[in-house]
Amino acid sequence: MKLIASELLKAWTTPRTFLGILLAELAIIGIGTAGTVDSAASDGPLPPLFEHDLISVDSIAVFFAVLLGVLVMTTEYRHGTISQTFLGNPAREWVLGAKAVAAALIGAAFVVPGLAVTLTIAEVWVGDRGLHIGGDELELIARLLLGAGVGALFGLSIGAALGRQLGAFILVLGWFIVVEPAMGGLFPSTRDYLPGHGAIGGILGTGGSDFPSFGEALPVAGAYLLGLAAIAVVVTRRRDIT
Amino acid sequence: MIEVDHLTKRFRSTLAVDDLSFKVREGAITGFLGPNGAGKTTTLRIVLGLVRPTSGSAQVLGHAYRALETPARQVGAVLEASSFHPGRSGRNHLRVAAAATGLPRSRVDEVLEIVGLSGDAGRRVGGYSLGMRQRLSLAAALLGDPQVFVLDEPANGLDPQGIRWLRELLQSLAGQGRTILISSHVLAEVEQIADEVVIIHRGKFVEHATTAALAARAAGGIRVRSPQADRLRTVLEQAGIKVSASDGDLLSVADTTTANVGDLAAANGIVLHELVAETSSLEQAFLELTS
Repeated sequence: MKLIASELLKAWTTPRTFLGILLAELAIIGIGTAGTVDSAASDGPLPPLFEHDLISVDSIAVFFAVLLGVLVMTTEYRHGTISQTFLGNPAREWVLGAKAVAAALIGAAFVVPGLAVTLTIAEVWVGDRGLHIGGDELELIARLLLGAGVGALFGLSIGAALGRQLGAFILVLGWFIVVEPAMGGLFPSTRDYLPGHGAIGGILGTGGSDFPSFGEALPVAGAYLLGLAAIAVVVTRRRDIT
Repeated sequence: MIEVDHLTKRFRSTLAVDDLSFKVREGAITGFLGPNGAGKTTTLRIVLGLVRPTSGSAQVLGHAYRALETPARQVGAVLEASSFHPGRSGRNHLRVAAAATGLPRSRVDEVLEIVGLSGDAGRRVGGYSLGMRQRLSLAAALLGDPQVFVLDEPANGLDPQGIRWLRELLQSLAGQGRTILISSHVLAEVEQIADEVVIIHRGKFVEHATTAALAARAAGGIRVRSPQADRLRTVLEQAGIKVSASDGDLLSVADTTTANVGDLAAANGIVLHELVAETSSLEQAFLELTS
């Protein structure tokens, strides 16, 4: 618990590190929400599944959670504070464990402001047309929180394995924007086993029948997390802090 | 207390530390000296468990650093003054370290007071001078009130007042029976505070001795000035004393004492204007051993 408290305090005491990511996330969510609301902008009742589509806009928060996970780990290497961290707690696997808990919590927490923006815009714009958040939407929000936590763990593991912030960012962006879509296009049978589509996409369940089910996605996500965590622990334990 | 045993560290083709062994005595201040690139920082990082040795071992308090039960409360370390998040305040930096080791927040204010940073503790470290960062590093090292300190160039960036403050702080800690291993390139500072000195060069062990013994070994000769220098030279040489150099009225004499030279001059009615044992210094010894 001491280590987790320390990791959360690290994030709390350097808000500027995360502010840029939060602002970018909110801007995209704001634009996405406006587009979704605008598409339903006519008099009369809201279209079916409007609320589901509305909250699905916040799926982008999961991508930002991956970047947050990278930041939680690589900021320490970038500024050299990892020396102090490992001096206080030389059992590096425990430090990684604490960072994993902190990253998952922070990643999930970053979903909340996005949801607030989405619901505020929708309430102001179409609140008088029967906007209703029910059980399905609450389940979707729970999936978003879980997906963001998993995404943050992906990012943290990649950050721990690489150590370098820029390299980790390039890898994450390159994978999710270029490599995975290309692989999914070239080899459609692999899509359900890829981390973005098969794991996170399935957990979120915002993409319809094209994505694996929640039950199918969880083991895929778990396998990726275990594999990445093993690499992160081995590399971190062996890394010289010079 | 600190024991380095046949330590070797190779970074790809570079041999940074080469079969290095030494022990740091409990309750003493030990200077750890060597030219730039000698392997001091690598050795200290191995001692602190941050770098894995290629072979050999390093122990603190009888254990590898990674095996210490409460390392932050047993060993205080100062590494680089740049190892801070620039956006975090000095106080928050210490609060993070205190939280990780279960130390109370009140201890943060205590060490800030000790290092003289209380007034600037709320400022972001990015705005600190190098000297202030060094004081913050020392504050972090003091947090756990440890028995052993490993300090890598702690005087870097400190102004003369800061260096004096550091000297007094280290002497105070040593006076409490704590063990201090300090690397520094400011040899005059080390000479003033260190009981013992370990010298390494190109990763290899060169010397481990008390500071006084090392300085004495590098002692220069005797400088004697006389208006009768030629006659004095003859008298000294007749007495079997080697005159290593002469320049006008100045002679340099080796392998004897000032008393001996003075007695011989007096016995022969030779006037002396100056009779001085050339001061020895750690710097001389260091340069002789590492050149």
